[in-house]
Amino acid sequence: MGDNAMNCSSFTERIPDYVDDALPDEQMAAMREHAGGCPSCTRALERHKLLGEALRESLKHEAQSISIRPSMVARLQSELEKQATHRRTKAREASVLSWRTWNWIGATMAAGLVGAMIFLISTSDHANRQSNGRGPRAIADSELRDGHTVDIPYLTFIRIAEEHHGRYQDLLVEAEGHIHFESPSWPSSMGQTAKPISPTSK
Amino acid sequence: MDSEQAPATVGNERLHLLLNAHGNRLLRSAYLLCGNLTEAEDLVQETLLQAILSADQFRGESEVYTWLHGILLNKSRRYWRGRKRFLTAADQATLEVAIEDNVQNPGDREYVSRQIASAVRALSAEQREVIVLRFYENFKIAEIAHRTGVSPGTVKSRLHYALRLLEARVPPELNHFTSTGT
Repeated sequence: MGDNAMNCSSFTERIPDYVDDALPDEQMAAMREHAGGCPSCTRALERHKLLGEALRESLKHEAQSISIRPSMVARLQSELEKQATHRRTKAREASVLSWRTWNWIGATMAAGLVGAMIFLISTSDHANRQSNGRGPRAIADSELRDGHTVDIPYLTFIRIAEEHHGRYQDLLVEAEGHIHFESPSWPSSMGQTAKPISPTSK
Repeated sequence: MDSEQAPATVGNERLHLLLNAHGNRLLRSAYLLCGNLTEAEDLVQETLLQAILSADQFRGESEVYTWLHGILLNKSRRYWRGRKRFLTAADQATLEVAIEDNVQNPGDREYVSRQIASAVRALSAEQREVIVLRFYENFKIAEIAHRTGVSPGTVKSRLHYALRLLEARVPPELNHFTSTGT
């Protein structure tokens, strides 16, 4: 056994890496140096190489008669076709699901719109029942007449009137149409005194 | 209609490309890993199907064969984990039938090769795996460690014990690789 930086145990352990030339340069040199002075390790290295060569030859020989058979190709093609069909079916199912999902979304939105309209109508009806049964809508019906141009949205007018409820003196409603509206004491005398003065233009 | 047939067509094209370029080599490796031709074909079939279906995941960081062999190795290991067995006598008989042996001269290199191959088949799955990767695929220790998910030390340890077993199991009159040794 060589008595140098590397002992027989570490030499044996590193034989595969040495054969691979995968050791750092200094370790490769230490392996060569150790083998040069250790017949036992030299034989171990030689045996490893010979066994490796025998195995390579044997495995190559063992496998060389094996090749892809037509039956295997046919099985593979059949399996591929089966999987392609499966994917197409899945894609169709996903498409139908997507269509149904959009239907649900559309139906939900439509229901929401209907609900919102019902809410607005009921709100305006409620407003009409205010002010001793003579609400802004009734006032507007009675006052905005006789050739005055009322082209603001009706609900807008009602909303604005309600917002100023209780502190109305001179209400200027300007929306899509231009309507001067004057009342000294709204809402108490709202129905009686409020009157449109004139349609104006800005 | 054409668009619906496209996946199968693409799959067939990929299949023939892979089969022509790597089919035999892959099947031979699978055969050496599992020791049975029918099971080797199943492993390769699963490997190729997975490769074709996940071809988009191949990043070109390795050669195609290396990528395919990685898939095969995973399937082989799963196969062995599922079977949890070594080659049985019945399997040995099947192999002997599968490979026609008309060479009986102990001095014949072919005969020696077959004896060594029989000894390899009798190894455990892990030992056979390291022998096949090392001496058939010619992978270095570091590559084997990377592919099998164990440390290089474990690979060397498995290799060491596998080689000792092979030395012990091959009949002495055929054991040329130890006749020069101690």
